[in-house]
Amino acid sequence: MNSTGHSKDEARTFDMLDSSNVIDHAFFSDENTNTPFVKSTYSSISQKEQIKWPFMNPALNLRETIREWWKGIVLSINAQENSFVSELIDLRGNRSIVEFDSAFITEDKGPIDNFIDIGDEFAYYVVTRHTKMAPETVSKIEFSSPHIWQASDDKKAEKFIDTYFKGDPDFND
Amino acid sequence: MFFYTSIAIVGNFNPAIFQPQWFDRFKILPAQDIQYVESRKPETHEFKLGGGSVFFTKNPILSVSPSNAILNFEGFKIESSRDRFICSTTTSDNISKIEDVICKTFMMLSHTPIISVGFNFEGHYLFDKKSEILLNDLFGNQPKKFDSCFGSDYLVSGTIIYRDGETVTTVEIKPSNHTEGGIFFHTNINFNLSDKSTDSCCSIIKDKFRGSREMSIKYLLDLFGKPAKISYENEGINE
Repeated sequence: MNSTGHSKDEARTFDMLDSSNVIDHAFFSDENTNTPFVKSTYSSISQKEQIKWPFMNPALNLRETIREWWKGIVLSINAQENSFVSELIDLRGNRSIVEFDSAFITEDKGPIDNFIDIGDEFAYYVVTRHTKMAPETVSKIEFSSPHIWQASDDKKAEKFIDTYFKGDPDFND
Repeated sequence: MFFYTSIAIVGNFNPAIFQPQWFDRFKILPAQDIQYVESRKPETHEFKLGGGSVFFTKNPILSVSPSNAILNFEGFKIESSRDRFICSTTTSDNISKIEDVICKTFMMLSHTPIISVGFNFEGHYLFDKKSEILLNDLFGNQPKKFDSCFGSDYLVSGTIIYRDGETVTTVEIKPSNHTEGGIFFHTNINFNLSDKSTDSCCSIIKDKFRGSREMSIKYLLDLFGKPAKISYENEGINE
């Protein structure tokens, strides 16, 4: 057994494949026998050499129907009412003007113009997710870059600055 | 009617961004398609070499690099290089899907310069008459030099190209490599975009794709009549 708790043969097989996407069956079977692997159909390969490609994330194991899809462009921002007006274009080229509340794009309570700007582009879609329970229909706005700065990003940036620029004078000084 | 249908776009692309997660993020494709390419095992071949083995991957389900992207979804395929983006299908069920995928993709990538957009429709067909008779009838009046050079047992095939404004249509007709005695019929309809915009590209796809497909079927029926058998339809064969 080596330092990772696997036999030399197992480690050799894993090293030989040398890819994060190619996982030796024996490597994972010790740790988590319930991992939903894709079953191999390669009967000619011995058990030890079976390649499982790759394990499926149960969270992704769902079916969706895309009901509607629009591309949107922010036309104006109403900072007082925390809403924005955008033009939506569907796949047939039909255009409509829609007003969205800030709750559509962020849970942060800050002013909406901290998050978006006029001319920003986004995808707005309505999908039905077919789960084991009753199907649920959800809609979402997904902005293309620039990334929408959220409150959690402040914390990430602070952590980054603390890690890499510790001791440096503050930007605001 | 066609076993292979594709929409090809010529322009400047960045294949590295065409990751399954990108298509998922903007909901260009539903979750099950993303899951399909991410979880499928590609066809691999093992070769023993010395004490170890070398694995070769054939027809990768998913391969994305800075110069090329290949995503083999269930029933349709997306390929991109730096100068070409192709979305193709071998089943008639996915025709509207490839239309939508391309339009959504380039609506989100609205600054992509696009030079031209082309539609391809291909099929292998068997008719009541053999391909020799049909092709020789179609491209008849061969010069007698043909007989002196090739004898009496030869096949004639051809390509017809015509231009209508910014649209160039190419129809290729030749004996089928897949179907004995059959005919391979390929129509390419190419639209040059003078403004190089994605808006023009999407409106051409929405306005002309279905019509181009119907026109291609009409060409086939007018030239040869109704086929006795359409080979490879819905069999998922992708040349």
